[in-house]
Amino acid sequence: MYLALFLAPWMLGYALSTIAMNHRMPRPTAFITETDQHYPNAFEPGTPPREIAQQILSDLDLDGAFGVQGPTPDGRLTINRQGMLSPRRITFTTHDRRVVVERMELETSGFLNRFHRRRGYQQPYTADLAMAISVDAVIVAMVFWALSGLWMWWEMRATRWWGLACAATGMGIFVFFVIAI
Amino acid sequence: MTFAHFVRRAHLYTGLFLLPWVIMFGVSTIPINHNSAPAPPTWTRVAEHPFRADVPAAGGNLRPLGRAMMNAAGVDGGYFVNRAGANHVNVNHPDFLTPARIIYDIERQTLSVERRDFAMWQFLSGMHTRGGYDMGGFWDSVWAVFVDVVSVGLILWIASGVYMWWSLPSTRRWGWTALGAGAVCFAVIIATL
Repeated sequence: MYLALFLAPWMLGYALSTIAMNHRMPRPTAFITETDQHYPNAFEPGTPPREIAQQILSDLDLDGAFGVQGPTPDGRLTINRQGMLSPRRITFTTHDRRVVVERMELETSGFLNRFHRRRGYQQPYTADLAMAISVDAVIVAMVFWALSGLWMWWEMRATRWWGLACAATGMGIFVFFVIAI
Repeated sequence: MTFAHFVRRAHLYTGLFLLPWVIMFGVSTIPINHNSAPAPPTWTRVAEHPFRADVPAAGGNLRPLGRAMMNAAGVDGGYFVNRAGANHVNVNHPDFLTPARIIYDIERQTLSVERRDFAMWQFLSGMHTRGGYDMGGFWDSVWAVFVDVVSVGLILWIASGVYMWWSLPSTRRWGWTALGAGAVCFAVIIATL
């Protein structure tokens, strides 16, 4: 019970985001320009794009999980700074050394999608690590709730027949799906 | 039957009914969260047919062509279809155990049908990510209904769980602590990610 109360926000988030994804709710990707500024630092030719991106993010005080695209033949590097509430797109153009920072507007279905998909231990940032650990906690909790629920049901003799009917029906339907689709 | 009794029984029976989905969504998150690189799946060609169909121009609706490819290949159910380069149209039929892919070679006017061997990682992640009402298969849509039912079930279990907790005055202090700590941790993670 206490574990369920602790993890209630995650479970609510996963339930709502699953509904949004199951119904393919649209995810608008409107960006608002935050800043458009000169970037004074230069990089040695051949510097890996990820290293350039990390330096730019650090200089802009935007450290955190990111992906990088480019550079394109015209020297444009696009950094996608992942953010749960408001992801940012940072575009660096080498020929004029400009950095444009754009922020995605917060809207519900995009936020739910990002929340549902955020996982893994690949990013070296504390918040990402905390999220990945919380996802593992949800995994353990779901299996634990299933097993402890079975045990608690079995301890209540009055509910055995109806419980068995529900469990067997659910299991039958699930196995049918696994085989049929 | 009192309301409290009804809530307890509903919590129990819906939980037992949806138990396989709860375990599946939990277990299938392991490979997704740990991003373990799966071994490349093995695809085996099971058939090749002569096939000719008009291909819509770029940006056109490929689904009718996809359905025609599914029918010609003798595969039933839902599918995804996409244009893979100038000369190929691919249809993917995401069967849980052994998915099929159907490749239309426009130049050769052939349809090749391939089946993927069973692979545990793909099986788990396939069940986790399967959903939506737009795949065109009846049972795929029924599966999507169950995905919605599980989601609504989760929300109802939270609500009924909070109600049952509130009915136990002796657990309120620790319950508030757990609820508050969870909400704070969640808010901090969301705000800093």
